[in-house]
Amino acid sequence: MTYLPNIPQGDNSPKNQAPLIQADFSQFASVFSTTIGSNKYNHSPLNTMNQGDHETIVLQDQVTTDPTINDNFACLYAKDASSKVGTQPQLFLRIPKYLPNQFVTKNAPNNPMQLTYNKVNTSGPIYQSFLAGGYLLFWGTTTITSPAVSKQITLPIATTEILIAIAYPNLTIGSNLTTRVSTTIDTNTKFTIYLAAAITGIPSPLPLTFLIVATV
Amino acid sequence: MEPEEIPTFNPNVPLRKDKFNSSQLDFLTNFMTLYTAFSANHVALDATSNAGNHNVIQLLEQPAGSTFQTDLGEISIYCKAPSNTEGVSLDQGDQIFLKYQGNQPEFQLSAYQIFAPPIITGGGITQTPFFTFLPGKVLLYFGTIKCSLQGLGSTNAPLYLRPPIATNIITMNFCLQGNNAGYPPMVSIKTANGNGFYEVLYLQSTDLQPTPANQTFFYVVLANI
Repeated sequence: MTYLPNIPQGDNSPKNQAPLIQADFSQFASVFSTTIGSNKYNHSPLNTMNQGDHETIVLQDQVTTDPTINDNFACLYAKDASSKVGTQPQLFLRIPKYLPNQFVTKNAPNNPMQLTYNKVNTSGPIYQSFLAGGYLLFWGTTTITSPAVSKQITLPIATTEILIAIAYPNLTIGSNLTTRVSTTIDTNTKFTIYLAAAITGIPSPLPLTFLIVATV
Repeated sequence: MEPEEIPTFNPNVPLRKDKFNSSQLDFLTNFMTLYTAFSANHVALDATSNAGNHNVIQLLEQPAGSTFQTDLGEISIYCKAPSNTEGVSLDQGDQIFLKYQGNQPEFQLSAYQIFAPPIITGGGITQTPFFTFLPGKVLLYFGTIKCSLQGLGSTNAPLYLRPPIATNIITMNFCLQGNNAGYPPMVSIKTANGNGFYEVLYLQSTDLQPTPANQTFFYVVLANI
């Protein structure tokens, strides 16, 4: 059964036109009640209390195409995005207009913004989520056991580039002396936390927290 | 040239008294209008597959101050131009808002326009800034700054928040880059500029241990907008 936008045509008798019109009405009802198993997709069925609402919204991959924004509206859509784990459709947002404004004079184009990434890690020990703009956020805790004064940590997934690596000790030594720490970004998946070797009395193992921001 | 007449959907056709063949134009107009309107955001009704799926979701800007009914079992997503508590536009363009079931308070899901701020250099300082947003009108500033810090009472090293739209600094953290562990800098926050935005933080070396010259720090700053 196919929707025909150009019916009824010609001099067909009502007898012949009625099935075509019924087919179009039926297609509307069908499209507005797509159900697989017990799950409803896209739109709430006609003739229900919620008709006109949306159910699970399925977004077709636009591959490389971004919508044109020519009025006061924002667009959500799916487009292919590349990362170190491959190319997959992600959710994008494009807003209609932007800088400059009265506070910021830099003329930034309203580039599409990637909102999502295809993986999160909520079980640790290295937790992972994503930030708008194509960034990944990693965080967690670790320990360094004496006599070691450094520890290299490998992220659970490859990134394009680690941008920042912040580490901080969880303990204070004495009354107010915080253990000294630094970090290096070694590769796109590894960073190292360093302790100052000269300080004595550091508890071992020393617990530390860390926060990493990387590009997808 | 006369403008082309745009077909208009008429939900009230055909009338009971109409003959079927006299309603042909009404049917044509309605079916074509439905088809065209539906195709704006959706896979077309006559597509061989995926009819009804979405190609894009265009969310039209809703009037400022709009309140929406979101009943139990529903989530609303919509688009508005953000404004401050006095209703003054924040010039952020249209952004996405969410409202959870039971008419819970709305919150702003997206904020501002993400772009790559330029590297800032001058006075022996090099700052590579980045920023993104978190739901709830929160900005995350992060990046690196290479500078030679002085102690208290000396000239401070400025760290610029770009774009300068922070109205409240929530928290921040710093860490030295390199294999020579050291203390993070002390940071002071000056008053907001004339527009109410915090544009710059000032870094100083801690008195606990001098910071090496040309030291690079990683930084992260959370702020409200």
